[in-house]
Amino acid sequence: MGNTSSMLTQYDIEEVQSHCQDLFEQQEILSLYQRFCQLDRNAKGFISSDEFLSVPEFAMNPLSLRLLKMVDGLNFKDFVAFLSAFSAKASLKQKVKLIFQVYDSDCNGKVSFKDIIEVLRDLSGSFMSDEQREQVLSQVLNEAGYTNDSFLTLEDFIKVFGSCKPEMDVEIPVD
Amino acid sequence: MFKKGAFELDCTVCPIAIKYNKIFVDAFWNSRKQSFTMHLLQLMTSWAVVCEVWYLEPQTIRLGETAIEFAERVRDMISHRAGLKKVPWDGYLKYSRPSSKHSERNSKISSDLSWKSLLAVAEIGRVLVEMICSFFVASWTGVVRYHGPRPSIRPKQVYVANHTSMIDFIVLEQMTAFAVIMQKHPGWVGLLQSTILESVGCIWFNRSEAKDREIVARKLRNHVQGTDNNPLLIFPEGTCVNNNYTVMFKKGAFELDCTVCPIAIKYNKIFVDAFWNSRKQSFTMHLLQLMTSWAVVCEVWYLEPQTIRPGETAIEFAERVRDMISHRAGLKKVPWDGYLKYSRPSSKHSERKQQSFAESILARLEDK
Repeated sequence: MGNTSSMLTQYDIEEVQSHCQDLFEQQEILSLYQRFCQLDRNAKGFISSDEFLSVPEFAMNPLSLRLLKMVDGLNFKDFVAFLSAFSAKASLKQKVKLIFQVYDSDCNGKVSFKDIIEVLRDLSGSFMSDEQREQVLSQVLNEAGYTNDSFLTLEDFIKVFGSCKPEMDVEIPVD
Repeated sequence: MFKKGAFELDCTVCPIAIKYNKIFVDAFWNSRKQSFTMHLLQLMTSWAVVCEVWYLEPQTIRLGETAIEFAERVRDMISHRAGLKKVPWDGYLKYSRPSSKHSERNSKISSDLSWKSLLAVAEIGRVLVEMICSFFVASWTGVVRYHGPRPSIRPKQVYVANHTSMIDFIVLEQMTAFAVIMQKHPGWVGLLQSTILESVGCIWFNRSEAKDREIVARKLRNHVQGTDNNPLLIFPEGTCVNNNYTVMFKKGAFELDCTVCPIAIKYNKIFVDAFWNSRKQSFTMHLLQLMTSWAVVCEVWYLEPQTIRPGETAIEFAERVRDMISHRAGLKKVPWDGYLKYSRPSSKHSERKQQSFAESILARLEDK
């Protein structure tokens, strides 16, 4: 393969654009489509876990398995919607929502002490002990006005971020 | 300048950009020079008309925008996409001499100078086109355009180029007999390598052997110091890349104490994607694909020889040359290791990230 995919029509692009709330330009969606087709080797319509892991930068990310669970099996339209949180035009709420979803591994809309510890374990690996992780988390929760038994919701996450947007912007190379 | 008529019709304007590839034919119909019949004849007897068409995002006139501003905005988009330079000239001036009001308005533009430079570029273009390599192997009908001074054989110099396919080597070899460093391939290709390529002088390496690196480094050094050897051509990326990007250069070629002469190669994908994905197809299949495709079209730029600057490390030198090659061939630079093509990143990569994260968290903890 390696060639550019079949052409998307103007309708297709507009449909994808409205599905991601206009957070991407049409040229960006075209570039994303080319990349999507390159990764999806046998044109199944979605990218398998193995194909995601063939992207070296992704495989090196300590959170790769968590992210995989969120993107596995998505078709192009939903994939673009997932990526839209990384657009420079995305709001604080949209970006924080993605972060919340990474932490909320059981997808029940609440993030517990245990959930955060698991993410911390992925992020720090063998370079922090379990006690150090629990100590850090307890301290952080305390400072933010929560306890170890608190269940954080998306609103709590947004409140914690306050007005500073997380640095989650990606520039999509336009041909 | 765009005439504003199209932009005052109260509808969505859908811009389309068209760019012809001049290697094959200059598609511009100069109606003042030749009739349409002659122009058509010229197109029909040329080898091919090659062009790219881009359908751009539909535009509507913005609030408070005049038709002229709208036209200019769309012209921006089209010019940018097709790589055309914008000039503030009126196209109709082709048909009639400018009235006096034009020379008053345009006293800034030295039109004499711009015509002279246009002619100079056309002259260079013609000379370059004459150099199209006719002895490229007939089986894959290559159309190659070379730019820049031909390599001069001198001691203590090494050539580096970006790498897309095994045919890079053939394209460059036709102009200058380079010696090359290659990975030995299995099958009939290996046979070809051992017999034909030995005559120009080749150095073999094996990616999978760890100790191999020191041995190869020594061989490289010996070759470059020797006066009778053909100039050495090295592909510092270490592997084939898809000709849209360049990956990190391996520093070996830059530690040899010689002048490094960069070469940039860019294939035109309209005809065939020259990228040999060795993980997907064998070289035989790749060659077959090239032979059955219509043509292999590429441009080669010989760039200015570089030497290592005082205080510059080999890695910085490599990056500087990679900058030059990427810029010339219009390739994006990425900070990846080409060898990751062959193996998944080892866990040490993600462990490094975990380590830096843990250290910053623990440092914050200690501060409290």
